[in-house]
Amino acid sequence: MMSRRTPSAFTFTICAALVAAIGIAVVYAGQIDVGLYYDDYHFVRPLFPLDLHRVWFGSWDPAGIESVFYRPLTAYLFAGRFWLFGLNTTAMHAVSIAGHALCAVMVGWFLRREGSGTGIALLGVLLYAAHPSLPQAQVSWLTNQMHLTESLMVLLTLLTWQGSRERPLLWLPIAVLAIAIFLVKEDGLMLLPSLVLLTALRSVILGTGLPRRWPLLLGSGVALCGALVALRFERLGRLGGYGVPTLATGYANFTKGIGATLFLWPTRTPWQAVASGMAILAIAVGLALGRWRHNRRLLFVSGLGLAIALCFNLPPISFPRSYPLFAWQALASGVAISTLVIGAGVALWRADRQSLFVITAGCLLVLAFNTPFVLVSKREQYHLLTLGGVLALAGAAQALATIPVRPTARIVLVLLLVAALLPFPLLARSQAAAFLPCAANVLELDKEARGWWVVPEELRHWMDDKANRCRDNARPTPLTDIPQLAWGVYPEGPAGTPSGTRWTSDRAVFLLKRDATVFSLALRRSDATSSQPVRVTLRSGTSSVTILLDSDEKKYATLRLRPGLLVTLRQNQRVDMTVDGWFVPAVRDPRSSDLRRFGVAFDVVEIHYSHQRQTMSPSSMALPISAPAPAPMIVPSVFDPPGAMMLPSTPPLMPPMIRPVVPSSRRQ
Amino acid sequence: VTRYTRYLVAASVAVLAGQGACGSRVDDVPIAIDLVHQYQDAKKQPSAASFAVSDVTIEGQTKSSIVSRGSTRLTFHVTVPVRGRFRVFVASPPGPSAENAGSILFLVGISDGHTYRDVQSRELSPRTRPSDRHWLDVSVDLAEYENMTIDLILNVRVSDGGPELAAWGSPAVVTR
Repeated sequence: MMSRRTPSAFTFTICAALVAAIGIAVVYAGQIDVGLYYDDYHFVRPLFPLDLHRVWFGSWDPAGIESVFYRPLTAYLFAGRFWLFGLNTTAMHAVSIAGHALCAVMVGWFLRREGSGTGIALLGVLLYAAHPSLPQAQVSWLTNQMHLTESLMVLLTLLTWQGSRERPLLWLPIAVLAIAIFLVKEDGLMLLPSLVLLTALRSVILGTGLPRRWPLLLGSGVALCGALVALRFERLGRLGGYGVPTLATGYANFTKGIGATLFLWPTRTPWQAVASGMAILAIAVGLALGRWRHNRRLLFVSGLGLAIALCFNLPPISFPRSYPLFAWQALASGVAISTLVIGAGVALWRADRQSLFVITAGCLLVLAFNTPFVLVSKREQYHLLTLGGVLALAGAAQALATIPVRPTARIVLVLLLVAALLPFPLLARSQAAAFLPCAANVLELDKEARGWWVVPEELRHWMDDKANRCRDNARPTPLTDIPQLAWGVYPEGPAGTPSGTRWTSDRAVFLLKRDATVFSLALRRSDATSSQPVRVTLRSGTSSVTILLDSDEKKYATLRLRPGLLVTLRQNQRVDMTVDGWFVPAVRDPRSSDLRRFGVAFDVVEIHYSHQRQTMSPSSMALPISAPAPAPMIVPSVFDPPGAMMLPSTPPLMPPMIRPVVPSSRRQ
Repeated sequence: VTRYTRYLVAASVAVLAGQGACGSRVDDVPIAIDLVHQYQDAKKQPSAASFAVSDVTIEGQTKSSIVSRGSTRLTFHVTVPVRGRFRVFVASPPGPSAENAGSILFLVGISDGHTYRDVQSRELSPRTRPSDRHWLDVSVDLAEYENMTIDLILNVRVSDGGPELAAWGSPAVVTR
């Protein structure tokens, strides 16, 4: 029960937000920068209606680059994110930070509602905000905003569960949330089993009793989980993912997740030895202070047994190595194991049921959400396991805090605890640094991403430029500085059309620099006739223009661009093109293997900026618009693909060039 | 409990009724694209000589079919209609050497231009399994590819000593 000195909900929330902000600042200040990382290069793009339809019936990635998973809501999340922010990675990272802070505050709320004191709840907030598993899993990697979303939804569900444990009807919102979480990522399936087990655990440890209509709730939960698994299998038509591992690999996968999140178990054996040594020391001190008691012999023997078992990890401490023995990873692991073991021991010793429940609840969440990772276990997906790990550590700290000591000793204990936790944010900081745009692994993975068919040519040029800048120790330019980017365009037309002219698909999206005011295109379809015209619509915000192509003559479309809220958020002007009257070469000619949709041949003629003018066309192709007075011409930057923006002076109709659609493949 | 039981029963009845309304009527649904009619336009591998169109009768049921000899691949360009589904009946008609004891594999695959995947497969051993001497119904939901142009790829793989002939009976894209 909370004492009378418990702060109000508002005060607690403010305090929790401040603590989260401090933790986040320590870890992420200066460690989040412009740019994308690996999968981001094909997830940060517009998703067209056809893609958004497909994700409900198949893989979340219609481009076929990613492994097959059923995550339709994640696809919508990415589509919404691109609509809102375009390529403004700074804004997207800010959203990640804000979401992470919100998660941390919700962890504090969960602990507070489970009866933890304010200090322990705030410690939980700090641990979560600065946990070393989370930079990779949900903060620094934009693709893993799906994990961040999942964490937010799981925490919201846990808070809902705390308020609805006794009222069966209030489990309905939980069911809805569970379905939504499953549609974000499959490991969300474990949420309902976790809640059922938490309810049972609470009943056993705290003696609260089970909710009314418990069998009905249990049966409904099982049925819902079964239905979700069946839906996934029916929609994918297969297991998907990475396949089924061998028994040995499955076991290794399972233990890896537990070790990495509950104990922050290091990857190198000498560091494991250091962590084990720290834990042995802590256990020895605990046993010495507890001394031998007749009624606590089992606990005493268990502690002794654990210390002896940990001794088997010590020999590698003398192995020859080329790296320092005392690294943040080793120290953080030692602190985590020591805190957990001593906290659990004290909770059992003192029969502190509240602390025991929080510790076991955390461990249960780790075990439950780790279960699907038997199939494949990767550190970047430990966000929910980390939540369990943080709760377990907070529970252990709560047990330690209940030890009656003098005020001076308590202050020393608190200071010791804070000092002991220092490796957490420092390790997390080094993890976050691995996502900086010029980090070696980032540049290495850029090379792979550069080959994906879905990455626009202009973005590839930006990646090349970024690599050069990093080599020269210069800061990469923001993605929003790319003069013009386009999705849904092909560098060449279908077979039988001239080379050197870009074509659109049935839909295309252009991103231009923020200060662009006029965007002009030359459009052409050689088979357009008055009886079968082709309609092209350009839209940007509230502006739109429609061009009807009814002959093989070139026509010009000019769109005036205006500032607005979305332009500010994106730091870019966005132009959407729709072509009615598109065609598929394989339908026109069964001998063709080209299944792509083709809209119109186009060239960017002119882009005007609010303070200057950039001309893309020969002077003979003046636009039929009242353009502002010409300003100094800007030489196309290094990002502009050579010749890509030049309109041929004569309508080109060259011999056919067939470029087969090359299937792409990626990591397993 | 009574109220919840009522809800559960009502939900179960609704689900069963929905299944009854939507399922088991494959034969009645309208044909959007008859692939036998599009046979001439299909890409035939290893060569056109490996294929023929004819009526095939198995167990008293006659179906307009594309018959292939040996391991083959047939590729159709298909623009998938709304609520589209690929439906075909597969069988191995008795050939000149009908005593073969091996098996024949029918594989249906889809390519969207970027990725290919097998969506259905049936392995028949008509010599050893009496149940494989009938037309077997194969149905593939094409909802994922609605309004898209895809390659529908019909593969036949014959194992050593397997039947020589494969029949794709009444292949069509139907609307549910």
